[in-house]
Amino acid sequence: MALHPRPQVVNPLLGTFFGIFAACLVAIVVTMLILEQLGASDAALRRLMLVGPLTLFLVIGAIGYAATPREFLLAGRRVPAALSGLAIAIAAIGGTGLTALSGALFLIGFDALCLALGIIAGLVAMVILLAPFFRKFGAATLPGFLGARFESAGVRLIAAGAAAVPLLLLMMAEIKVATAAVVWLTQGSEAFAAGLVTLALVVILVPGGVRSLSWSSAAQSLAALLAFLIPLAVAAVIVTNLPLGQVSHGPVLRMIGRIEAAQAVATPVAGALLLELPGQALQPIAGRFATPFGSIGAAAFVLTVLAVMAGIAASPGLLARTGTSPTVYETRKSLGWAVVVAGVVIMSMSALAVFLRESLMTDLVGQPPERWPAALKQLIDLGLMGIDGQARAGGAQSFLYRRDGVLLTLPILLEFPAVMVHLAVAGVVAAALAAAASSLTQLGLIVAEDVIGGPRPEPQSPGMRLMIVRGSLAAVAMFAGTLAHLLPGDPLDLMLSSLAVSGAALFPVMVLAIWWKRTNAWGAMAGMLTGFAIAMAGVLAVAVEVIALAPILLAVLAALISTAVAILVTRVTPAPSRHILEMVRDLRIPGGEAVEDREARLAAQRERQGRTG
Amino acid sequence: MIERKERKPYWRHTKRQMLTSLLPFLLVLIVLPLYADRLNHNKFLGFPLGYFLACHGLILIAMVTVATFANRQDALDHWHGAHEDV
Repeated sequence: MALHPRPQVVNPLLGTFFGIFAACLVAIVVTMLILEQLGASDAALRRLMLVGPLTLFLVIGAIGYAATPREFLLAGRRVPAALSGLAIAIAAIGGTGLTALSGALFLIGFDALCLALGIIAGLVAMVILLAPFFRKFGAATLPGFLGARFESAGVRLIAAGAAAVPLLLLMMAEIKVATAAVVWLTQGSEAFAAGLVTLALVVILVPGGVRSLSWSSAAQSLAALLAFLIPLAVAAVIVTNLPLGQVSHGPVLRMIGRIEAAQAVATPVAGALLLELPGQALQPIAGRFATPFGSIGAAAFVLTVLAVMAGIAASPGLLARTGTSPTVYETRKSLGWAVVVAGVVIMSMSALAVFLRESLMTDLVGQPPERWPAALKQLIDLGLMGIDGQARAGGAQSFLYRRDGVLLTLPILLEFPAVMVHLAVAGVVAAALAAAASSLTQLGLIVAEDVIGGPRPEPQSPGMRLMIVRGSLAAVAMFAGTLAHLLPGDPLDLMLSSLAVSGAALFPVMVLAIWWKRTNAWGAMAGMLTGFAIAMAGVLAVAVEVIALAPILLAVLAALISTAVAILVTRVTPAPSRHILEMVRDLRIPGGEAVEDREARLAAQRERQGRTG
Repeated sequence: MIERKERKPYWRHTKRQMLTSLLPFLLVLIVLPLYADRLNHNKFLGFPLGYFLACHGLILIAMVTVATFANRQDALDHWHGAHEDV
């Protein structure tokens, strides 16, 4: 029927294609293991580990070439639930999560779970509160959704500004992580690595926009998952004799607990609002692994979970990905898959942290220096570990670790083949590229569609639209790459600031826009501005060291104030028009045409009638 | 396509489903880690129980929450005729 265009069917061969991709990846790794045994130089192996997967990503990005705006902005709504869920999960965790979060889990143990649980809870909140309705509305960007929902160019522009900041912060974090990993693989300069990462992002994304993003980042996520889980499974076999380290590290953890007690490793008692996440410098473990609230107070733990939850749920780069599902039901399923994948990755990270603690407690602590593993010297030379001369010699606090290097410290300590270590680094590159690409695409779309093309009364021609989007994608990538290279900053802090801003500025208004149909444009603008202002003030105040409270803790307060302001301003200003109310009623029902599609069709129809009449 | 008079009951049920999925999950998410230290004296699969519940347990609860939500909401959509015609 002409009125209801059939939903685009999912390509039935996708499973085969991604199977071929995974096989190629495994083939590269196995070939390199053979080459290593044959005596290939380490530098060549490192470069191969970067170039091999990167070539596959570039090819997939090019295959995703899109010639129409619908393909470019929404991937033709043909991305099946499992692939989109996989990509959303890895984009939510990102290279920052893989490196910094596993490092934090190792260094501060239980307390770092607040970030992990926040990510999981954010995906749950996204599927229950926002994603199905965003998909039914059919917008390609979050400001596009809000602007159309409130029929207000002001809301659209403010939302574009409020979304641009967290997207940029997140991209900076991911590009920094990817740069560090590429430096490891190329052994070249940092500027070269940053340029290479930015160039790769542009070349992957410009051919097909969201379509290229969907397929290439699904491939990147698959690569990151394999590169993270395979070395871990090998380590698990070595430590526990079982390949499933995620569920078998319990007895190891208890053994560590006994040694910690024997060595009198103390866990300090943190003040309720203390939030001490490990930084990038070399540092010792903070306390016992399974004892909570040593580095992060109980109240700070709960607030961080909630703030990360809100930030992830309303993260524009992630939420927009749910709009590429074929149906609303598939959107819900895709986030179900995302929770599963993110859950597996988080359990794996905690297993990794426990295994590394085991090696610290049994091989290093209390042992005379001549019995320390041979790899320790290599780790110290690489800067991944250090020894503190001030602390009690041989005590747990005298061994220093680098947070972002924990992912590599374990395979090196267990004396894995060098290829396995490089594989883990390649996984970090893939995850960081997937996360950066997700944010970059959304920001490029926002610049092109909401800022440049948004306020225009007459629609642009499809060719013009595509050209503007491609241009802004490339420009945004260059801009973010330059910022990431020039500005200092800890990737974990940048990621948390990004989540604080998106959770405070966007989450309350997004929820109200869907669940309270009385919300009007004035309320939305006031809510977004308040949340954004408080969250940004927090981020900047911490940056210049005015307050000692972490900005992520302020985010919950900012979100609550933003909600209150939005409700208050809505109450004292006129109710939205009948047309808007009808639109909100429509977006709440999964069946029928996407709201944006229908509005566009009706506008085109009116124009045709105007021309003939 | 959904009938006009079905829209109100559909939204009422959807709201109830949202609350029954989200509130228990949030409650467990907030309360469980606070008791982790006390639970750590018990063992499960070799894990200290508090750590196991806060890491593996909450992840499992999240998976179950999303799976039941997707299924129940889909059933609601079909019951009220609000589902997509695919």
